[in-house]
Amino acid sequence: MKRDYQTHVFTSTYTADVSGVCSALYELGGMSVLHDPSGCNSTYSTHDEPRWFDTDSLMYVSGLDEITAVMGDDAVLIRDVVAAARDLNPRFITLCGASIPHIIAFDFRGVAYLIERECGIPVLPVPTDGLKSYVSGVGLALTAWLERFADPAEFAAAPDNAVNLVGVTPLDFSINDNVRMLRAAFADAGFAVNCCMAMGDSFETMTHAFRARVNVVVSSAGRRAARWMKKQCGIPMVEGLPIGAAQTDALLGAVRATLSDGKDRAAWGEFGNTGRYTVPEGGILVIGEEVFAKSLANAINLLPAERRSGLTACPLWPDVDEGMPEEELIAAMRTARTVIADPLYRVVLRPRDGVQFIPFPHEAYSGRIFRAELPAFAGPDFSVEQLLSGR
Amino acid sequence: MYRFAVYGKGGIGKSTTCSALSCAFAEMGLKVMQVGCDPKSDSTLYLHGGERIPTMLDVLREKRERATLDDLICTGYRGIVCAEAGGPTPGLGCAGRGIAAAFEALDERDVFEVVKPDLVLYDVLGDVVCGGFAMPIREGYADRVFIVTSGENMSIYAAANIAMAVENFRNRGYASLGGLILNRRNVPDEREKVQTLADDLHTEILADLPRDDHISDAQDTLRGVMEVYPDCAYAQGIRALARRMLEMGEGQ
Repeated sequence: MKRDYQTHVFTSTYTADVSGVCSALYELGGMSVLHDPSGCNSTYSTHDEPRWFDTDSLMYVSGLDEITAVMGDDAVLIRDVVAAARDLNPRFITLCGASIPHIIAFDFRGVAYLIERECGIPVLPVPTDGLKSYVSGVGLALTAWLERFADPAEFAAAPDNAVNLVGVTPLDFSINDNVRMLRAAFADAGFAVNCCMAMGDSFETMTHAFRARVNVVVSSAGRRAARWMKKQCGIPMVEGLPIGAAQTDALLGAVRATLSDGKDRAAWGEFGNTGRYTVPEGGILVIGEEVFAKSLANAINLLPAERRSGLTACPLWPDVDEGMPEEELIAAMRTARTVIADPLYRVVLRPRDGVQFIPFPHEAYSGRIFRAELPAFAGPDFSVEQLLSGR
Repeated sequence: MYRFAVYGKGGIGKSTTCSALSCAFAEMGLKVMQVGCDPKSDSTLYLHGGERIPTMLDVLREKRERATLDDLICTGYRGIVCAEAGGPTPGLGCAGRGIAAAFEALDERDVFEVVKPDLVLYDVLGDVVCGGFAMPIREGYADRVFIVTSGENMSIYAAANIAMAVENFRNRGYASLGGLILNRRNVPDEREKVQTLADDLHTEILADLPRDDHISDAQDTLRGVMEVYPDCAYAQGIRALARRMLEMGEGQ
């Protein structure tokens, strides 16, 4: 079947890469400049950023207009950013953009260089295009930040039990208790959490990101930064999320094994998918961000068979560039016995499909709509069995 | 790695010059990669026996992220690694954005780490008309920009425009102008006109390539002039130019 990624009748899209950039760097004391007319900025502030009203951060939109774009007049942006930076003196400036700068091949790197030369503040060019998902934006932003401010030489002196949690933003973890519980899951098991990239850690803490023995990639948004760090000094990575007791044990076991042998791992076993969108009939389908979906599916499969009605779970996650082809997604959902997904996916199922739907809100998909219902899922205390019971 | 970009007015002979230069560099024992940045996608035509290779944008449209590096590049005469950016359906889309997308696709596939060329040559369409066509000048793709021109007025105007773009980008830490390549059309006072342009741009004429029928004769056999008539005056001029370009690229 030829995939049609562009026609979506029932389903929505995931948060765009520009919001991922702003979200990843929100707490680090920088100024984020979104080069765009303004639409993407309002989406970010009203839907994608739960900290917007409680935590100050310097977020700007350039207000790009048609004639400036057509004429390639970069001087307007440079002048505005330099003026704002002189007033506010941020630790660093991030320059990202949405689709119009992308289409006119805006020179992120060159303009960043000119702004930095003008005002003496480090400027990170993050060439987003507004077309990819937040996973791309978070990855680009964290990598650009680490590249500029963290020192790979520190890896040599990293404590034996130190780990980083990479890919932590409210887009995947919201602002409920998830991040605290995530840290606690590792601390309680005897690990020292060096950096939680990037929620709850300061600019200074983040500069020591290489003082860790293992990068735990807790969302696919952290994968690019972890791969970059591995390239610099060989720091290995483990992918997985602690969701419930058994999956937490599996992840911690994988991290210990990696601490011992330095090999990359993922904290999940094989799933029954024969193809990306071909899921076993009558199983449990978990839809969401890749590491979350795989971890939750694995957590379900680690339950004794009778406590999951003899069903096995398999994950389905969106492509960073193209989301999901809706027709194949719908076919997969209607084939399952149970679907666990953001509430906005419920509309796909008809009563006659007889599929049980278990809502699991995801900030990067439905934004603020179901924020109050988003469960604190990180750590051993989350009951996967209770989730399956629909209670 | 030497990184050169060759610009010039449409039809002035950029692709012929680039292909001949690639052959000359390859004769010197260098591993060469030539990237055509023109929607016509004919830059490397005569390095492949006159057969068009699939353009990067066509491959990306078909295979999207599943496209591998091997899908995007081909190896031609003397082991020269060839890539053609290609472009949208004529009259539609955005050719400049297409060039940028093709470059990004090569970057994402770590082309220079995998291919490990000693020299990369970008053959770029006409005037610098928008951000996409300026990509080879920007972001470290090319260190030196060379402009092919004849003594015809339109060619000289185009060359001046390109030089202005290079100058604009210089304060961003990008490529600098390497010089002019005079590709003769045998118009009156040709050398003098191009010399005036070189003086205005504070640069020099690096080569004075003769109008040579061997080029079209070779192309009639679907091969390049360096392959078919390696001793003709044009081929010798190209080899001398290649040596000068390498001298200019030293230490980059």
